[in-house]
Amino acid sequence: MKELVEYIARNLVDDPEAVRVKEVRTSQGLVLSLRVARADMGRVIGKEGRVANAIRTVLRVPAARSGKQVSLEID
Amino acid sequence: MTSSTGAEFHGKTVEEAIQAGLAALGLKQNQVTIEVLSKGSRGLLGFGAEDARVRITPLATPTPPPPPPPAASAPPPTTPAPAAAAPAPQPPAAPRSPADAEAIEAAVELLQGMLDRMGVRATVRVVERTGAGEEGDEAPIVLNIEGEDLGVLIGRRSETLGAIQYLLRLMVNHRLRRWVNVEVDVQGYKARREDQLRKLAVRMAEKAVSSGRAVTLEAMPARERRIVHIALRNYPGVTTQSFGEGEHRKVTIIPVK
Repeated sequence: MKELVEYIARNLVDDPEAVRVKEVRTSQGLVLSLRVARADMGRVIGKEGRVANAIRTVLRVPAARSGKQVSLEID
Repeated sequence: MTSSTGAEFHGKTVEEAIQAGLAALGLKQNQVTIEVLSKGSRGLLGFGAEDARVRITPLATPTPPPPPPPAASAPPPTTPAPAAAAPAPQPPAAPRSPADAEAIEAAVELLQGMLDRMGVRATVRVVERTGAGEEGDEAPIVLNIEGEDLGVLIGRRSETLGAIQYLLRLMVNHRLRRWVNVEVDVQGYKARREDQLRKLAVRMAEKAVSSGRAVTLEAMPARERRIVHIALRNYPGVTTQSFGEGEHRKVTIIPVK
């Protein structure tokens, strides 16, 4: 799942080297924390969070398969 | 992936993988080199099945048309026509421009890349357009995701499919630095749904006319409402309009006198 977020993010930003995804296991499930260069923030969030929400939607596919609760944060 | 290193394509069989690749690149078998990376395997009862994989590399120069046989009897051309100036007649199916081929290659690679990382076993195939799109529309590149049990890729009210398409468009546009109209379908779902919607639209229009009362359809995404509006544009005796906001927006078919 980490790889999916990394792949999408790297293909959306101008600075793919700066893309980092951290996996944090919490009692609420798996939290994926995405970090990109400051100038690329808009590209992974989008207007009214549209891009971030689309990434969350596609993440639900592998999440459902693994039976895990997965959420995505951008910081 | 640059064309000098070739692109990888998947399929249930080697033949399918090659066909998918050629369709994606808009090239013929004699214009590429094909390297079979994996022949794939059926697996046991569908478990552990592995796709066939091939690498297709376009030849550096397109294969020139075979030189005309030096027929001694043939009279030399009277006019110094530039050699092979007349373009070979294009086959009617899918004359792809180089720009199209570039966009298709990027779109197939990026979509396959996403699917692989979603843990979905599926093949991406380029859908050849048979007819022209609706007037004024640039014909989109349509990619169909094929495989088994892909309902998860559609989601409720095709929300997941919408997200996949949205992200793919952003990625393709970002890579090529220009706007490319890419559409994603799953197992021909959208094509089938479009057909159903048109039939539904006509049935409901008949009902509106015969009852003299407006008929409201269930809530639909913009794309589907558009299909209904277009289907009934020239239907006599009704007009269509959408009401409601966001997810709840519905098409109403109104009889007119």
